Amino acid sequence: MEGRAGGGGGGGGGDYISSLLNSSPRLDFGLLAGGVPVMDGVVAAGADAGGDCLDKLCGDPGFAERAARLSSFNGQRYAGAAGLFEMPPPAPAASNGDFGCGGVGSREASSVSDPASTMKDAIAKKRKAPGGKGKGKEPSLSTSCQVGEEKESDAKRCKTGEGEKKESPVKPKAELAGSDSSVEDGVQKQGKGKNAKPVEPPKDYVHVRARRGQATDSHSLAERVRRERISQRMKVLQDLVPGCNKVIGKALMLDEIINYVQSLQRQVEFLSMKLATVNPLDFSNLPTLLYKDMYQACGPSASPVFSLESSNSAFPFSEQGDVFQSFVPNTMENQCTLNQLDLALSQATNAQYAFQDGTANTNLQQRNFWEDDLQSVFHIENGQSQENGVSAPSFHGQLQAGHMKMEF
Amino acid sequence: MDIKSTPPPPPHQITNPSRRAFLAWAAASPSKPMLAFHFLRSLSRIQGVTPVRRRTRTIRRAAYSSMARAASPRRAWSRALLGQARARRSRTLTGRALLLRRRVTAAAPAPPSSPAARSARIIAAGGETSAAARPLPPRQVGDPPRADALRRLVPGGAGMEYCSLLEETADYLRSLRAQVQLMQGLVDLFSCQ
Repeated sequence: MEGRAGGGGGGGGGDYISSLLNSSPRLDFGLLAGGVPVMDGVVAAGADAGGDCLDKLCGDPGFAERAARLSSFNGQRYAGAAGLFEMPPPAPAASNGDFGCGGVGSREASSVSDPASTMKDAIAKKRKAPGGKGKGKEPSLSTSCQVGEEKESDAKRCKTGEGEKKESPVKPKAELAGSDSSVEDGVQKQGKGKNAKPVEPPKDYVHVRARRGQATDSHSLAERVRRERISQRMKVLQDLVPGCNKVIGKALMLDEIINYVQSLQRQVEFLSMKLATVNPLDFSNLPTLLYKDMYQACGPSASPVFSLESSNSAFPFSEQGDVFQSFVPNTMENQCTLNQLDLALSQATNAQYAFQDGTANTNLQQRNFWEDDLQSVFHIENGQSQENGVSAPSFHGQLQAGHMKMEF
Repeated sequence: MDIKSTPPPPPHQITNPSRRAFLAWAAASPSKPMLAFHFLRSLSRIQGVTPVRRRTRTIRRAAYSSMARAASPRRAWSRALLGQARARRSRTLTGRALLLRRRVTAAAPAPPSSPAARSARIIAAGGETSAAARPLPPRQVGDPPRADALRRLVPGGAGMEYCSLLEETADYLRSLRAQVQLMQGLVDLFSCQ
């Protein structure tokens, strides 16, 4: 490694650089043919990634200081790095790749990958047009940095650079076209390039990396994007549906999902029947006190959607002493809702306690109480909220009819 | 707060273990209290005099509606469920539809179609939730083989493409599961007092 560093440094910006390189034995700088600008950009990127990163990278605390001193691109690290990456000669690219890779004892891979990934992001940002050169530099750098880690840039021709020497300072440009990926593979046959391609960082449009030997026209790319999305969603569904882990394959999983949805719907039906039979009269006692408690507890942090929505639905209730009449719910803050639920449940289950006698009084009292509370807390008057039904017309337009006693 | 003959337990003392479990469940995720609230509210509006079968149906509809209300309005299934509920309500409310339903249940021959009756019938047909009454959703190209079954199951699934159908299914499943848990908790609560 040192020989290489020395050899590489020799061609570059002179002895200073070579001394820098030599001072960090674990770095494999390869061919630094770009000289000072290369070094500047690289060092700038490294230095700005944090002195600690460089420390880890180089194992030499002094290097960071030297790099910082050397660097004149401090304020423009990304530009420097990016501009660096777009330099045509392959050697700088190779050297960049080696620079990144050299830091790898696969222990420092994580720390290196941070500046690498930031650089990659910078590259990605610049990669609006089909900037093949930018892409070319970027994968080599990032992949070399993420050696031994199954990171997302697996597809980018990752060099398992345990001090691996590049055969040639070949253009590691991975163009998007599949033909160029074969060129890449000619350089570094790692086999990782054939793995699943990464999901690009989200930008205004999706970057899709072609796999080796696959077509790259727009239709198949769109198809591939769509398939990726579908497989992502299927993974989410797989987590949701219990027992779906053993099943592999889209068709079988789809069957499982359908069965699960059907079983859940059947369960809803069954449970509703059970609820209908198990407590005939409890529901009419579901109370009143709850909501008072809820209002006290809840702050005025009402989300407008919910308040309007629920207020619309609360409107037509014309039960005898029903809570919901003056109830203008806000967002269900967990605490107050829990208090409320607790009260509801306690009173529902204690059906034998006489509500009937006190119901009218309590409701009246509470309603007055609430309305004061409500108007102070929520600033939504009943009449006003009725007009605001336009906010959720599709849901609650019909609720104004006030015929909602039984049907829900 | 002591307005009843017997003092209720103070609000923060949870005595019943199943109630405790229920409240613990409700605290688990942000959407669950909302679900519980809507469902309990709709349950409270059920009068005790209705027969069991009708009450079952009402409770089931209340469950779906509370699911839809507790979900984000961005969800297509939520909108579809609420749309179904609304259509059902408008169907039952139109006088013609009432007449129509009586005739249909009596298995009478089709009444002479006037525009109102026809529209009521269409609404009635459209509001019908059983899969048999609904025409099959148009099969979209590029679907895997069993996708149409999923479309039938998930409300509002007919018009979506497969990708969004999967997303809606996931959300619908989450909500369904929460609803089932809620109802199960309620059953436990009410049955073991």
